[in-house]
Amino acid sequence: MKLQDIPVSVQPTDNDDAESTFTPALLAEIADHLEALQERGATHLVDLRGLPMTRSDRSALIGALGRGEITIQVDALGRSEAWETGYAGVWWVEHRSPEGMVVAEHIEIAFVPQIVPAHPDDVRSALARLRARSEPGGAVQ
Amino acid sequence: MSQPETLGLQLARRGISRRSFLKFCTAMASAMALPPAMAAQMADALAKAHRQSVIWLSFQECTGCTESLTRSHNPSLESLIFDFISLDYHHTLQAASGEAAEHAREAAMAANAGNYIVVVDGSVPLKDDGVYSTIAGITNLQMLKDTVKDAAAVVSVGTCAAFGGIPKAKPNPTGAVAISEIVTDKPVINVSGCPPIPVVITGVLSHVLTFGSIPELDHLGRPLAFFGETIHDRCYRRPFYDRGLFAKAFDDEGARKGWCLFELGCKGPTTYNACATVKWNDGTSFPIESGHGCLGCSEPDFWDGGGFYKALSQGNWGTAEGIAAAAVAGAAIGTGAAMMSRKRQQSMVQEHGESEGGTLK
Repeated sequence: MKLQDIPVSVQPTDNDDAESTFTPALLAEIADHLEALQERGATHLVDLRGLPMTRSDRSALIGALGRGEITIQVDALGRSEAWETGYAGVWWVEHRSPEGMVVAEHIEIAFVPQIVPAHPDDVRSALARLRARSEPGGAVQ
Repeated sequence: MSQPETLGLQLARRGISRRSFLKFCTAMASAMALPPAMAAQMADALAKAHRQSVIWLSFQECTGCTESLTRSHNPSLESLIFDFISLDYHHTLQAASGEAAEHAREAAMAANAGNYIVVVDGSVPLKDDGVYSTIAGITNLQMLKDTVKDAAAVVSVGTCAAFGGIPKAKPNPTGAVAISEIVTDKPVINVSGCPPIPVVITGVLSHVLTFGSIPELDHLGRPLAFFGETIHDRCYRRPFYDRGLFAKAFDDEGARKGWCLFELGCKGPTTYNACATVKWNDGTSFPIESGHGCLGCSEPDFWDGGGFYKALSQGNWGTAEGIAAAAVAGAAIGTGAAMMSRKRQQSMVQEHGESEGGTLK
């Protein structure tokens, strides 16, 4: 007998008939933060792992936000992806470990997600490496 | 040994960018239910920090706790913690042995007096002057007292260290006790579980490194971020419990359909741990997803709870009143947890910059 032949399954527990209040509530919260971004440049992060979402809540949220024009891929200790939703300034950010496991998932309200811009320390180190390279006999670090 | 150079500089040379720091801290903040905006602040603090000296003592234990931390995700985001700490003594992992090993411990203690963290797995036997467990001819009791004397804090990893665990199970032939019964003048953080979830160990150490303080703890000394809710509160089978649908045997229709395992002895309603959300084996699953009830391994005296397959409602595990109260509270917690978590985050944002738990120094 193969593993998949063992008839153990968990029935879906989501009650699809019930009207979930999760997505409308979260969208209203996102709208408030988007207003703060527009007016004061205030950024905000919503940690999706901290919210008790059912599978249908999640698909409703994905459907409601949609996908916009940009997808950004970052390779730092595993892959991270940030894509702008159908609403400018509202990003879906997913961080994965080197093995591909999702380690954090956020809705980020910002002009650019915080994982994207280069950090001044990294810029400083990059400059030092570039300068060393152009020096006579300078080795690439 | 502590290095004079900051972690940011040390790791930059190995090609670990500040984006990686931010990502590590984002994952830790998410795992610890910290306000997500705090990750950037944590990453800055971590980059400026020096490697934290850690002395790891293993007493009456099975080494499962070390296995949990070192082998579960490899290589992983969590294993990066080994770049942030200086593990100066760990008799299972270190290459040195015998006197050289003990000298390494003594040297680390002298060089980092007042600042090092002692991680302990295993309980300590007190009976017959502690002769039942010795290392290099030193009893566990003596080694613990000597090593903790100049420590900043102690982390009891695993249920044996946190609560006595299996060595303390009846009839407790060696007189085993928890670390907190011996160490009473330092902060002791209990990371219970048999074994504990690796990210909890990593989370606690990251918290100390980035905030310089210990995280908020529950009444049993466990970090609230991971032990704030029961397995039952966040169990994916919870809707079956709420609808009164229970498996009555491990091979009946209910078991096949994945109904609630309460009547088969699941200790989820009285067990505080993060298995249902963090999961095990690279996030694959947790025991209930494999069709077996929770054993309650992160709770005191779980071994003597009256039977793993005996329903909580049949007694021997707390009082009937306590269980009824837990079940009622659980119903409210299921929906209220997110709200509580947010309230806690807001209060942290107001308080932080400083600390939300006790300070170390």
